[in-house]
Amino acid sequence: MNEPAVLLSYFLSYSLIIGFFVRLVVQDRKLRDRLGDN
Amino acid sequence: MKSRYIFSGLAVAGLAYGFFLAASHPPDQLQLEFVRISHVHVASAWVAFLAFGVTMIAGLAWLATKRFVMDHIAAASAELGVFFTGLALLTGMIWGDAVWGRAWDWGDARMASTALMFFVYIGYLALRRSILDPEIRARRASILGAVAALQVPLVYFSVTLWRTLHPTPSIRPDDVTMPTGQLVAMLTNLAAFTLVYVVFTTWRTRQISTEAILEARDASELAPAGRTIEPPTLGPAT
Repeated sequence: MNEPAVLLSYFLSYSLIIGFFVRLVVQDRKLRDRLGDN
Repeated sequence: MKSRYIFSGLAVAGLAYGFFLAASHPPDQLQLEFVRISHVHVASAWVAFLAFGVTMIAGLAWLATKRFVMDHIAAASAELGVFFTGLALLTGMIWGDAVWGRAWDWGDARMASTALMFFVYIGYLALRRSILDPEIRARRASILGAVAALQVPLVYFSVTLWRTLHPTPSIRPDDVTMPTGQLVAMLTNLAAFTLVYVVFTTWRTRQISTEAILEARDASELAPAGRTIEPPTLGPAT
């Protein structure tokens, strides 16, 4: 694997964590809506 | 509510700072630019160990107290542990391919034991999904969580117990075999990832607790209305 590919993977690893966080926020909003509907 | 967002902001800022430090220190003499991904690899592995330790403790706390929030913490922590173990395996393979010339080696004790740990905790999450009764689910998951956590010290010490491909720890209390720039980036990422873990676990625990409330409500709505039908009592004819 060459240098640019590894550096891209390095960047994507952090993006994956941020992506996980965004998913948590979206899921939280959906759950709150469901709780409100009931 | 607000403190949750403040800590989330702090975690994201810490992660950004860790990213900046790891991207800006001079390249390593041997590993060149490839060293940068090792910061994500080490921090992810550390958080995975922490997460599985918390799963065990929270599970045992559920067994002792029967408070469901403990079970929810255990579940949230296990999810995070699986996520970060996956990230550690992935970044480790990328780093290994670049530096060692091979992405995977089943003969390496650390790689094999980490992969085993990853699959055992996927099994833990599958077990949780397969049981509907909250009490039975919590009890079985607590026992599995306690047994599975025995792997954590095994994975950690695998590099010293069996001398295979993986290097021994670069940071020890008596000796640090790492340039200062790399050390600062590594420690910053360890702290940032730990904060990220704490924040994410808090969010997920709340969500699992909310899901439990919704499940209980749905179940009560589906219950038959009115009195249950009882068989007639047979007695002497009047």
